[in-house]
Amino acid sequence: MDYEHKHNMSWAAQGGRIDGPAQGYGETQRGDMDIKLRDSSLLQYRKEYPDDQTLSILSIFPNAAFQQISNTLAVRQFRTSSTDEFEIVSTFFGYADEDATMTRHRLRQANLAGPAGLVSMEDGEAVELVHRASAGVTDEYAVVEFGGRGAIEDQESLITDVPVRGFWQHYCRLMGIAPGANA
Amino acid sequence: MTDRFPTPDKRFALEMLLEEYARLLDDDRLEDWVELFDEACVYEIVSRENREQDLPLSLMLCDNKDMLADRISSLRQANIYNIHTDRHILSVPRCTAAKTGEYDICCAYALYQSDQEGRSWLFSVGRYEHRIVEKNGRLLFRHTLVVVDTGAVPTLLAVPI
Repeated sequence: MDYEHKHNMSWAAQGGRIDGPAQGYGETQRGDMDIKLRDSSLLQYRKEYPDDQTLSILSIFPNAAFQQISNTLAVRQFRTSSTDEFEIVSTFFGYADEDATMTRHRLRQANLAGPAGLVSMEDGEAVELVHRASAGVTDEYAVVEFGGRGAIEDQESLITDVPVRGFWQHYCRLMGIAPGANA
Repeated sequence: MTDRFPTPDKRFALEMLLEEYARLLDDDRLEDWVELFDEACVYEIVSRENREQDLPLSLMLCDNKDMLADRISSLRQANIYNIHTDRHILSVPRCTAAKTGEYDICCAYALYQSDQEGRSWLFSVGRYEHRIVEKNGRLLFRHTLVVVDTGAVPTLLAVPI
């Protein structure tokens, strides 16, 4: 996170930081890493930068994200239209001077991201569930304990929403909303 | 060049194949649906916006049958998505004979989704462009292109269209 915690970057690196197989998934049975693919080429990572990062989601306050999921590169714009609705515009890109096989690889790996993404489709559903649970509360408080309590600081695991608290804390600062106040 | 049309018997078989495709998806028999495809199949969902601008990005792309099977096993074992029922409404198909043992089917679709509480909504509208091959007396999907008019996907697109 930056010093105001408004921007953040989630990342993972090959041979570097590794979250334990089921760590953080609790009893959801979704941390099971024993799934075999019939065509594993979808998950091959072709190293293209000097670092070892295979995942990097750079979230820029208030409405953009730059994404590297394996070899997919994309920009996401968040367009809010009402308290009940927003739209994500995804733009995937590659490099003009890369060879056709790399372009093909990126297009295939786009299966991981976007609205039908094997990695990202639950993001849409998760946000939908949280919104549905809190939308009914119109004149009281709806508390969603994103990332629990305590200090907002950099985290060791990707399975955390602490940076989301940082985002909203900054939003409240800008909007002049004191903690616990009626917005 | 004028289009060549299949014989009435063949056309009937192609229509039955199309009906089976939609019914297996609607009945959540996704593993059986995969078996309607040729090993060397391509299945892709592309927005009309990208299609018209010749932009190659798909919403979903499986360029062989293994990849299509992986998409289904991922839905079964790994992904979390909204529980729903799909219902495909298909238009009268246009069936043409491409070359020996190959046929094209084009039709429009409307895909409704319903939740567990019985609420339904229009999820996606578009058209199919199927290339069918005949192998050992069986008709199989070789190339399925789904061009979606509904390029702004409501929340998420989990199950193939």
